[in-house]
Amino acid sequence: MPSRSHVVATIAACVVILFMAGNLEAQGPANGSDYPARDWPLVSGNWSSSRYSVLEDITTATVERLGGAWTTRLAGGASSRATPVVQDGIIYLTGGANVFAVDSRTGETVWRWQPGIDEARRVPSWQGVGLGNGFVFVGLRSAEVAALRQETGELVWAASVGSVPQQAGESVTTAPMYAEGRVFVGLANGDTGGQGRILALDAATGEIQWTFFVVPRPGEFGHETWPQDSNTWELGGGGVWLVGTVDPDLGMVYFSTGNPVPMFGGEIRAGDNLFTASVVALDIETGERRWHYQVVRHDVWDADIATPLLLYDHDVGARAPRKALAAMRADGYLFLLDRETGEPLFPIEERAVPQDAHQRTAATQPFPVTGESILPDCSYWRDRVPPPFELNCSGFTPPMVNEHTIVAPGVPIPRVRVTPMSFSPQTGFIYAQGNATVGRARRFEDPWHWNLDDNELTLPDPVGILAAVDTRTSQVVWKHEVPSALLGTSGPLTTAGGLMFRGSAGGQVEAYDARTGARAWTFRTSEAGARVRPGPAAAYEIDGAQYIVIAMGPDLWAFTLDGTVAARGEPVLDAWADYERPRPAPAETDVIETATLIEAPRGIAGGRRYGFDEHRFNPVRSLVSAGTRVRFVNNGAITHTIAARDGNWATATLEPATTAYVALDDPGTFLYHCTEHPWAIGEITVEP
Amino acid sequence: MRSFLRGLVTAIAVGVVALAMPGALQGQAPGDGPVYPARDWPLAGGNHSSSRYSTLTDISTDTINRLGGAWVARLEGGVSSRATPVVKDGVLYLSAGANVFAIDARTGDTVWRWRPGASEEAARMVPSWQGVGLGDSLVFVGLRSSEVAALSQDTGELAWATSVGSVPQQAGETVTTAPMYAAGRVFVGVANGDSGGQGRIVALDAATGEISWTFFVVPRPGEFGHDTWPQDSPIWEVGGGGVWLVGTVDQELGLVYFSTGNPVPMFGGEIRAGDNLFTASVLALDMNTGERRWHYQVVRHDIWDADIATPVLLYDVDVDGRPRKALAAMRADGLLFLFDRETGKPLIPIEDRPVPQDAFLRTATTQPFPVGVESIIPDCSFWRDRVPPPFELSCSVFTPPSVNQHAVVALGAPIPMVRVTPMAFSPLTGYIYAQGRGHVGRATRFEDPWISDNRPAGYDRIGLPESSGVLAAIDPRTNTIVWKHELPGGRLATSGPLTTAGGLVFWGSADGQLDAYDARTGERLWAFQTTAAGARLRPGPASSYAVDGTQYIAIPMGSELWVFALDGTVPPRDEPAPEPLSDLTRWTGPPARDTDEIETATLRQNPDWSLGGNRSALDEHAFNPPRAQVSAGTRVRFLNNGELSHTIVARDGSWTAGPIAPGLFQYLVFDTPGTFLYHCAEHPWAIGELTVEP
Repeated sequence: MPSRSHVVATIAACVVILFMAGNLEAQGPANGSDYPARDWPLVSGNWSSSRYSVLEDITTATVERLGGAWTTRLAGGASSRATPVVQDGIIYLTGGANVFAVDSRTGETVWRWQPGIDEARRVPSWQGVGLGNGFVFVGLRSAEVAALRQETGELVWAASVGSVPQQAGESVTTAPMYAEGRVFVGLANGDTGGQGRILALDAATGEIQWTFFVVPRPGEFGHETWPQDSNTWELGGGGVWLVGTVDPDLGMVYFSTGNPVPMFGGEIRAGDNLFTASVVALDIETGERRWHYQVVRHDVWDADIATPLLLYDHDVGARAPRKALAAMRADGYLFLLDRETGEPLFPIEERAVPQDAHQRTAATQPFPVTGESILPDCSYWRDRVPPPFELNCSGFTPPMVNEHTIVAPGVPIPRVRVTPMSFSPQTGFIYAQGNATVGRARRFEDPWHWNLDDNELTLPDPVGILAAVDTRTSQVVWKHEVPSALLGTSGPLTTAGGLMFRGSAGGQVEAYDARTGARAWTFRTSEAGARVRPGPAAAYEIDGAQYIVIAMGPDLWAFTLDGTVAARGEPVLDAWADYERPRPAPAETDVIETATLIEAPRGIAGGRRYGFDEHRFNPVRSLVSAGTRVRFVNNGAITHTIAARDGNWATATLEPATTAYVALDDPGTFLYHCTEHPWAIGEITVEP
Repeated sequence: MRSFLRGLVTAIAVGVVALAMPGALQGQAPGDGPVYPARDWPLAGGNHSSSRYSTLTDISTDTINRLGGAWVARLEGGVSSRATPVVKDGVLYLSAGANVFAIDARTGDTVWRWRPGASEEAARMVPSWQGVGLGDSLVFVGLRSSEVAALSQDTGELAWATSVGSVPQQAGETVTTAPMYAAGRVFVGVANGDSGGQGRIVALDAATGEISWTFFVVPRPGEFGHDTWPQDSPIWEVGGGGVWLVGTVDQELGLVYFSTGNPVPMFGGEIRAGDNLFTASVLALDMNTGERRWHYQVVRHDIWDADIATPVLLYDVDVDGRPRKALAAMRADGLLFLFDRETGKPLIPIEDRPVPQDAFLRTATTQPFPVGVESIIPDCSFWRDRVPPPFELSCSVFTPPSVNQHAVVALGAPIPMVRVTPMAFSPLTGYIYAQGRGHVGRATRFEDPWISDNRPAGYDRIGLPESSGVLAAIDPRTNTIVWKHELPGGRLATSGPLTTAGGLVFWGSADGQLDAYDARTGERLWAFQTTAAGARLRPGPASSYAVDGTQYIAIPMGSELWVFALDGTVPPRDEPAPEPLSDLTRWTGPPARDTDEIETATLRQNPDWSLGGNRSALDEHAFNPPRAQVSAGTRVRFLNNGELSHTIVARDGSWTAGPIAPGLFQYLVFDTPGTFLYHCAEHPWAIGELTVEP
């Protein structure tokens, strides 16, 4: 059976190739199998999500001549984080509630699509669009996929790919992937109570051809990895957030999946919870599962595979390269698999991980034996975590209800997220980025509570990593550490010019030598100090010149050799220079409570949930003027004694519901904590 | 010896006042306290006795139909007032918003306006909403800064301000009582027990603001009554017993009288075993020393927020042919307690009756009941047929709030509602006039003893009968209710009755109407609508005064001060509400919310100012929102945001959703317009209302 579909896939691929050949002039090298050149027809450049351009005007040798070709402010003040896609001289991207078509020569708007007043839920995904069949395909917050006419922006069809009627929170965030007359999309949002799906639609009509449910239904393979005595699986999660990849030769589509639901409530979903936090390979014709690989069993960390998968040809030396697939786990480990079979290309071993019987933790988790995470290992944090916190280095430390001092990398939520990777056939490296964090492994008793409280005062700053991993060795070749706040959401783009491009949250577009990681070029698109959420860059060619295009917040920037649009400031070459950790503003108050009500965000599965944190001051950061009498109120059920860390003052022991006043006369910023629960730390700024 | 001396001093003081009065009649008019007010109305309660009775007779049962608007003044700055206007020498004084106003009683023109300064300290000097007191050419006012201030009657200039609470001020301490002036002293109370202060009664020198004495409502270690608090915890330190309401004075007896508020935490009886003196009590203090002469606690170990929430009232009555100096205090359940105000002995026998017990909450075994006295608010028989299943009516007002009983409803639960509004006594009829609200509610509380469960009125009362407002006249000689009016609870407001020698009772309602009743029969003789129909406001109590020989009735109606006189020409703004007001079905809870998502559990939060800080609990037996509004065809999502399983069913059986496990949800489409109830099959006391609009 599998071999027959393989045959069908091969025939389909041939048809496409024949079709394409006749259109080369009109459409350019838009075959998703190739690395993109003149056009960039898919957010990831091609079906493999290589994010690699064969254009080579702009090279390590010429990059110093790179300058702004044009910049355009998106209409309506919208911002964009989308990868621009390009075909025949037109750039398409989403921004705010719009889809824009922009002249790639000039930046002028060709057309703009917006949902009508009565279809306000049809907000396009921020991840961008896909092109094919003369259409622009876009995922919508209404859990629909829409096809707009490429020339006019006119809506041709819109098809719901979620529940009918739509369930709260269901949304299509993946940029649609077009291949062979079909559009492939995923359905999120597991976290709000939907269930992930992967779908294929007829590109011409929007008709759904098949649907794959990420959480298997009763009787299906994998359903037994969910409790059989409850209906938790109905909410199971496994949202499909990110663009898929296609191998028409193998007749397979590949998607990465999100976390199970409830995120931290492992106790009510005993089992591995397939196919969450997995790579799934589906038959392109039927949607049948061909193989899967789950990188996190029984996820209790919100450990989505939160980067799009990447297909590449794995160099094994003398023999023919293997058809490979790379997936980056949220802890920064690259899993390299044979994409035909799902077999690991490097040995993966099961390692014992910390256990929590209540949460039904999986006994082991898979680890690539020779792999190296792009994120720093525990030694990086060891000297940075101050008492009373204790660093747990084992990875997969479960969030716990009664532990307050245990600190671990990647808890409660790992931060290799959302940004795509890039593969350069020139270097054989995969480029990726992520944030390394340490946090307290805590959660609330309520399994549905979703506590994202990371307002920690004394834990070290997260650090952003930009890295190249050699696919042949699975080792990190080079990496840069940057302030986490400047890392941004722009994944790398590599080119045949030997360069890697990315945008930073500080408003810079940067080029690196793809081989060495040396910074080759830096361009400021905004004033120093600005913060933007750039999209990933794309490359295209028009009138024989190569362009790099990138969405930088409200502006779309295009660069070309000898471009004359000037930078908006001097480049910052050392991201750490004058860097100050962004901190939430303190609250002006003269009352500080010993406990805080933590409300789970609205719209999350399970409804509004509340947790009462008796180990967190409210507010954590206070601002008072000198001479203020601050009132500490014990609004909890246990006893607290508040003391300045410098020993300057302490309250009496505060029984529940009692109050103590402390007069603060000396200006400055200082920390205090609870003597009984020294992990409860607060900060007061006394203003003169 | 001590009692002899004290008696002597008192007698001398009375003599001085009596001598001073005749000479002052021209300049000051009678009415500086010991007698019923006539031309002036110098104290919020009218006189030292809080009689709220005017001897003016122009406006009478005979002339009332000529009563019309004399003038109406919009208060400057757009503020509202609930204060009783006080009047002296043609000038009317009242507090409103952050202001004290002096207003020409003839015209309504502002004479002066006092406001706290802009500094942060000064900004806390917000006057009490209950109004001011006059004496010694000063205007006395209680402030939110827990200070008492004296302003010059002529100019509004601040003469002195004295803190009567903790120094520095504790959060929530405030002076809400209108100051009572008598014999060169100002008497005030300190609230707010509920937010962490302790009640106090304080006497100040009227001329200087110097504190003469302070009485602490919660006795300190070693003091009488301290043993009614746990001896092994400092809970008495936050014991509550706020003094919220104006006191009364009997200069002859040399006593001041105050009523006190609930203990703290309100519902957390388990952490304050004992009677918790002197909460929910009448206190009689020596006006010179502040020493307690007698007390009477009307609710022992209160776990119902059962403040004595009306000012006490002094009156003279013949009992068995003997004139007695009496004091009337209305308990929150609407029962009037009558005492000999010299001794504190009951004028009506009081018996201790067993009440429902809850060992955990340390309930008192018995509570006092005046024998043969009828409450002004409806008794259990009124509610019996009105309380539908699954609720079970408990007929005791002392039904303890329970953590685990959800279907028990009780009179006055969770908070009794004879509150705040003053009573009135007419020597003409001998009746006491009072108002209150009768209701039944679920006797529930949360596990945390500090959660005060301050949900808005009616919040969880879907499926329960509406409250019933009552305005009543009680004959204290016979302990019977002579007449009473029942009206929708929502129409009852914060304006207590005023009675006059013209044989009338005046009373303002929440819909902006001033009514006059025959004080003897209760017949409504006159009604005047001061606002457009449908308005909702919080009127203050009315007062009466005379200028240039003309009697006026003054009453604040929200942001306006209305004054009435015979042949007044300011017309009403609308037709009066019809009588009888038998419609008790009007909803008095929160309005329906536009939503397409209904959750099975609701977060309850203490208000910010609560003692014990921000506290919250998840109520798994309350839909959120309790009242939802959708348009026809809407898909409503019922979402289980709790930890128990719920099945939602329409009361008419037309649909069912669930069982819905924790974290899960179900959609239902509503096509047919209408308003209907639904409930949880597992917890049928959890009831919601859905309105489907066409």
